[in-house]
Amino acid sequence: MFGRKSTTVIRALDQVDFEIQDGELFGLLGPNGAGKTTTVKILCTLLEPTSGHAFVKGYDVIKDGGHVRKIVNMVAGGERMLYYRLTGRENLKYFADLYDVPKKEVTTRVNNLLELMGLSDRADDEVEKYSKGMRQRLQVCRGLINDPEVLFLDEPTLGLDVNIAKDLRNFIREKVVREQGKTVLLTTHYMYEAEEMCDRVGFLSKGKLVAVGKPEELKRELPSGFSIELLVTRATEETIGSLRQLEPVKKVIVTDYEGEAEGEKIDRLIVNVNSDKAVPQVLSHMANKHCRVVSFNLRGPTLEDLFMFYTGEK
Amino acid sequence: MASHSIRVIASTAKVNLIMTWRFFSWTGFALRFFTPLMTLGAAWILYNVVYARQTLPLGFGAVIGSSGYLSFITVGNAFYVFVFAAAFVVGRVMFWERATGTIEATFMTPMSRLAYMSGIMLAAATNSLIDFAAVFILGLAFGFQIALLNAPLFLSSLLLTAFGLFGIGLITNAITLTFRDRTTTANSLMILFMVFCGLVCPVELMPPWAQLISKALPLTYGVRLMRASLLGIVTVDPMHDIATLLVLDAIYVVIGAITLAQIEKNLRKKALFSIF
Amino acid sequence: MFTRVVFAEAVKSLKVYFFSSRTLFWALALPLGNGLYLYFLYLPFATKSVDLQFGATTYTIDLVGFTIIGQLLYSFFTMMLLAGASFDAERWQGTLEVLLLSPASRVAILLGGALANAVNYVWMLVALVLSWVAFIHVSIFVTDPLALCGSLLLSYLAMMALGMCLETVDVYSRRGSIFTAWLQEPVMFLSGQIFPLQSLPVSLLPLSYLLPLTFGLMAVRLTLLGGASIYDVRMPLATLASMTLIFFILASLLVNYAERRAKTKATLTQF
Repeated sequence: MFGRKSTTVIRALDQVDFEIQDGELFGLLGPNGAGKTTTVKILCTLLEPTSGHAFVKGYDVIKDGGHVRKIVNMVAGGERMLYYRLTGRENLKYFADLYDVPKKEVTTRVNNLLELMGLSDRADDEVEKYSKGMRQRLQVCRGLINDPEVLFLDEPTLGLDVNIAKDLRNFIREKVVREQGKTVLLTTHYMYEAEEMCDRVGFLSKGKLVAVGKPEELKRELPSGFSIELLVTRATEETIGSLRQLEPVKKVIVTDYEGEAEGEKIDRLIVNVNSDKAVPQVLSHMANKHCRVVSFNLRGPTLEDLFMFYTGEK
Repeated sequence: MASHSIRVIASTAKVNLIMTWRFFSWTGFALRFFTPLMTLGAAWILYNVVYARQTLPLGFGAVIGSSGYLSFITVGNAFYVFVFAAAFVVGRVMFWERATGTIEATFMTPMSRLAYMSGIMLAAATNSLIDFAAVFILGLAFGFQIALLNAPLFLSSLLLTAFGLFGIGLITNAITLTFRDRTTTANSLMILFMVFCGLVCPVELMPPWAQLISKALPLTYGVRLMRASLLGIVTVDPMHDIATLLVLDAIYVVIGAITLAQIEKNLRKKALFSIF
Repeated sequence: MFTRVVFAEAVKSLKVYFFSSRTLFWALALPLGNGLYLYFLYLPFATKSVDLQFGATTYTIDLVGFTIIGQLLYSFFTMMLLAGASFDAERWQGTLEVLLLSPASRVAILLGGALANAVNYVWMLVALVLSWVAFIHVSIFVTDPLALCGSLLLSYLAMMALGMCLETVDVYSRRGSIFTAWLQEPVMFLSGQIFPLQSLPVSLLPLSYLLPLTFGLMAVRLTLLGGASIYDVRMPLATLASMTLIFFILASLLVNYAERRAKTKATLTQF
């Protein structure tokens, strides 16, 4: 009843070692529990690593934590981080004070940020009356209130409407990074988001950094450059096994797919091949095995393929 | 640095006052008079009805001189509201920030943590002044009489006690956060002060073990000084009490500041910022 | 389903709130600390006993016993109020909506939480025993153990039922816990906890008689310290039993009303 449970040590990060350049938009990708948020929180001084060092703009996050806090900020998706009983404007003014933003700049900066995020009309309403999208936009305002040199975005579009998420991504990429030259570390498990935004990416899997580089460079490292996406019916284990044995085929991944064709369940296969010339061979193999190919799509490698390759996860 | 700290204190006090007012509104303001009404009413009944002023209080007269029992109780009661500010507001602020999800955003900033907590105490003490005034106003109806007014002593007792309670509030904050406690620590602190600080009974009349505990609590000296400043009750040289209070304040604030820094370090090390 | 929910809620409340060192500490410290406060309140009056008038009889009760019993029952009442704040805790944890999303009977949820407090009640009785040890000169005078047991049990049931009613306020409004916390002072004043009930102005007595704590204090003090029999305390016991039933029915009605109002006003997620 009162006994302490035995403590299991979970290694949230394991020998993670990477650098981000000034003005870069770096994406840290990985499934839930990979260690993305842990990494971000260490860098913005909310967590202390058990061992190792982390530096932001040359400042040690532990020894020079005070200085780091002046030059960074973080926006997290799906979290509160706002005072619900204060208005949007009051929240921003308060954080401006906490960051010691020059007094004569506060009002202008607050108004500009609210205008930028389309919140001017509701600036004087309490945050508890905001919709989720509005709160997230206000969070971005809060994240920029101190004009940080480094901005950490921890799944910033989580739970947002498609169009709002798209606008936010554009804003970050064009305004924050390209125009203002800020350095941004973005964590996400939406591959298309990273593909759209990031200069370089790193893949985290179970606390380990398994790959770092530009998306195009990483894609070239894939054992195979192309993927054939097949939607088929009547694909048995034996069929898929024999498909894997074909010479141009490097990897076959079976993923979930919801749908039927003429009453038969559709399976989705991602077939990594070494050349686009492998398509006829793959299709005829499936036909020989009495599978019906509902559709196929040949594409170059995506970050999703990279992700699955490096992490072995869907 | 100093100007930023002042700014943090002012800003934090302001937003907390805004949030408190928005939450409690007029209902809360009106209900503030309720608690002292009940407490003073109980003391009045005890003195005037139960004991019909017949029983001579045990050594009470010798301790408090010519001042009335109800004046004695009123002053004790008035001071108690500051305990609430320290225990329930300062003592639980980081817990509450964590529960509402704002602790990370706040502690990610470069603000001085002590300045931030000072702002919280300033807001709480400002709110408490309303309760403080309410006790005295209602006390008048129950027989409270100011025998004299030594304004410097009155203000000193108020400020010095608030300062000491601030230090205790910082320590309570650390305990509350470490044990993820909601109200137990704060309530325990309230009881400690309520029982041992001479709020309803002169410390001199308490058993020796109780007097020993009371010596360690800043409120004991604050209440005594205030009774000296308003009622002329002087059982100990006020300068002695002021000196003791200054020492206690310094000890509590220093320990409180150290625990505040330690607790933040602990939260970072053990990834506890977001767990409540 | 009803009993299953009651049991599940009781187990959850025990795991979340009771089985922690701080709750156990508080359940002991609260009555002892408050009892000491009350003792010091009486200290200047050089008295060792308190006269309780009940009907035509005046019982002379040991002062320490008077204060400790008063604090025991009052502390339990306070814990019932704080148990009501468990809905408040659900609110700021964000689980109130999901709790009310389920088809579980709301009364069963209330009852489960209230029953979990039975454990607190027993633990507080332990505090009483410790108090007797600390103040070994306290003279208890029990002539009818059945009367004493009945008094303790019915006090618990009546306050539990009242606690269920008060908990519904937390469903309706985020200010519920403030309201219930502020009830503490008037209850302390009106119930005869601090001073004998006969000292209260006559005009306030009707308010006192609305409180189960008033009758609980009457019954327990008289049976534990005054040697009263079950016949002597039949009136407070009957009143406690009636109050249990009335408050329980009221709680059942109020909780549904509170939920509907909260959903209409969209206040379930406010904290």
